[in-house]
Amino acid sequence: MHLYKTMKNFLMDFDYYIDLYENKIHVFNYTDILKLTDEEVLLAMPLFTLHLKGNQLRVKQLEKREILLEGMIEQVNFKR
Amino acid sequence: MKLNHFIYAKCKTIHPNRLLLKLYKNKINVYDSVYQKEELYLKIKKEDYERLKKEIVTQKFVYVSETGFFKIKQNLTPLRILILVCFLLFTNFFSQVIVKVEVIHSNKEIRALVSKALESEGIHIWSFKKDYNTLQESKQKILAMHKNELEWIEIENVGMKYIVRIEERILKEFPEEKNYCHIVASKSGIIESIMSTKGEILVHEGQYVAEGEPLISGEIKWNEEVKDNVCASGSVYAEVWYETNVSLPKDYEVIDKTGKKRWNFSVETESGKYKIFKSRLKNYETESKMLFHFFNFTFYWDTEYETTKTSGTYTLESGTQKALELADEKIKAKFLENEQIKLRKVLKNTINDSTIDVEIFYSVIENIGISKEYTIAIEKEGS
Repeated sequence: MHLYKTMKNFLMDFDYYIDLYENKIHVFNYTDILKLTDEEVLLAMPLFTLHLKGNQLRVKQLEKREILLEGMIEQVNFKR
Repeated sequence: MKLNHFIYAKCKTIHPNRLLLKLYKNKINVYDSVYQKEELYLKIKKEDYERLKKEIVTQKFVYVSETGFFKIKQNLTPLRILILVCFLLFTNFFSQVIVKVEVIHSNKEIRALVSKALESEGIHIWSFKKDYNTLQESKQKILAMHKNELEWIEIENVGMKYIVRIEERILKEFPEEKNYCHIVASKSGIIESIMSTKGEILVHEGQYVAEGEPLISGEIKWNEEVKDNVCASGSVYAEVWYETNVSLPKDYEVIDKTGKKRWNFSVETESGKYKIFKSRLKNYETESKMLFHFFNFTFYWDTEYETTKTSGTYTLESGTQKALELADEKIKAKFLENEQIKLRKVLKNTINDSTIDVEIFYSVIENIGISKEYTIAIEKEGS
């Protein structure tokens, strides 16, 4: 799946993508982690800031350009 | 290709996200994380683990285990390798052993005979598999050993068993020569020709013989004295007579092909044969040619010939002619070699409301000689 998405991104030249699941969120190509707590996560994206709110938010996977968060996601906002 | 060396490490913390943020700041990638009982388990690269132990001194990281190939490598102790090698060797050794020899034939005696022959060739249960050449040699030996009983043998290796298929040799039994016999007439008639291979001819051409009368004697006489007894053999052709009655319906139907034909496909299953496409002809006869088998299905290429039905009614003459043809077929069906119809005559023909009845007389040349055994009395000396 990861390989497929990387290839898709390479071919379609996306700057970023965000996948939202039942209790997970996958963000690709974030630029910085501004805040990381159990209730709130703030991610700097190339063109905006992604603001996530929820309960028991945990980082499942963390790499240079990708992050996978787990937990009860209640709000997803972004600000340009 | 260099394998990524991942390990699991754990760290005691009540703020896992803060610790992860620290890892992020130190540019350490986390490939999996599980938080339980105030401990954060991290899947990280081994070089990152060495680095974070030096760089994050406020937390204590403990090595837990290897992952993937390195975990297998870690678990492979010399004893385990030895056990694995022994197991593979044992499996390989055991796969070369025959656990069943199945002889397929309906005859119990043949099965027992072949089983015994196979055992003598070292093909029995708990024996090792033979190579192709040895099997061929064994087959030849068994066939040579039982050339009167076996026609063909095939030994097939399926997994850990041998399936032996055999074809029994059936020797044609020649009829046993009877001790002493005469050739007698099976029917009354006038002799046309006689050919004797053994015995003494008692009748001549043109002679009338009654049923049961001796034609060729097994007694070889010289000066009215029986010198020897044989089983007479030969053929005696005589003119015999039959009367036959044929009754056929007045109305008939003839089916003719028009010359028009169409192609189709059909499939045969256990439940029957079905056309794949609907036939475009109304009345037709089908000739099928098998194409291929696919599991339980057989596919056919069909040629459909269009037919027409013609109805008609026999007149007395045409009905009599048809009855003669049918009677001829019936008589000729019983004929053996050199037998033929000599004469045929219609005795009576009548036309009824729905049938035509014809009475026919036949004069036929046929072999009337049949073998009949006889016994001779042995005279005791002094009696």
